[in-house]
Amino acid sequence: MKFLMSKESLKSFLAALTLVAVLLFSYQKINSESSFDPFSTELNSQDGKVFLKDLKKDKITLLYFGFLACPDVCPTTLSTMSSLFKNLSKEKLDKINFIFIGLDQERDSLDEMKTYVSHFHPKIIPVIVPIEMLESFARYFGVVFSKVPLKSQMGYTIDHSTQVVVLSPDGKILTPILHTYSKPLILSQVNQLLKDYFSL
Amino acid sequence: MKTTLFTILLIMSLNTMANSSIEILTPIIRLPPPGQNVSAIFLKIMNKSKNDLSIIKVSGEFAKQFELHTMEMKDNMMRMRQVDLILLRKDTTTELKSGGLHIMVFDIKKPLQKDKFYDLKLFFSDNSEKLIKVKAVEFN
Ligand SMILES: [Cu+2]
Repeated sequence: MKFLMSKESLKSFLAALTLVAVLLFSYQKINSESSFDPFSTELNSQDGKVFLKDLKKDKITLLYFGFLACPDVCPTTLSTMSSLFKNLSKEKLDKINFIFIGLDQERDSLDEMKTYVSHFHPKIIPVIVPIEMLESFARYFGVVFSKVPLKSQMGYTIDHSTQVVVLSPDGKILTPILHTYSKPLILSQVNQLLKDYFSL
Repeated sequence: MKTTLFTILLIMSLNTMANSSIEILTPIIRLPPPGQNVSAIFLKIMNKSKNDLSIIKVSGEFAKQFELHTMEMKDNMMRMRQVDLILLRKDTTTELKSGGLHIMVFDIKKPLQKDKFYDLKLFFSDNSEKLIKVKAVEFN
């Protein structure tokens, strides 16, 4: 009977085993996440395949994640940003990207997204991230989303982060533009970036 | 017998009478972006009565379905849900506004026209109702 572990030592053995497993698992997870590169992820746009690493070059890039059946937050953000664009000189506007990333691939096609965003500003580029990479892509930029069934006519809605992600030309994640910001505040934030990066 | 019937009818008609202790301010519906026939209605409701009341239903001819929705913002995350009623506390103005409570509209039958008014009927928990006109407006 002596070769059997006591209950106590069995317990601590199992605890140690669990700890090792958890550490291994989280190490792998961190590893796979840090190896995910959104800049080299193939994105679908109206002009075919595009990469964020090319789009971001020599520009301030704004990323917004949303869906077309979104009744309020998405169109409000697009509208706010568009009215801001209308206040910028062409020179400044040329230094800005605005990329609209679709979160509802079941319902929203690229064509529909294009029709939708054109209503706000020709500058907005709709893109679709391959579905299996969408979550990692969004999470990299601090954006989370989840599809939630509703008993509503909508069938489901998508809970999602509402901030506009801001990227420097070298792909650094800068202070985001929050949904609660006023237009003058966003305008000064954008102007500051253009000044810092392009002396405009 | 006839008087009883008359009384019942009178009470019924009184019950579904237009609610005068409710005042609606600035009702608007946003013009949906092209390709979309979903929108939201925003307004302010003053409940001047001595009792709490709720909106329990909304109807209109210009769209197929109207739902009561809440929206919650937490850590920059937007969560929209359907609710059965919108509570209107006595002596209080309740605001349905962008980023919060709204009447969500589905399957708008014909494209809304800017600055036109559309009939909307609100139904309350005390069996009263109110007919209002909502103005179609652009975003912002
Ligand atoms: Cu809604």
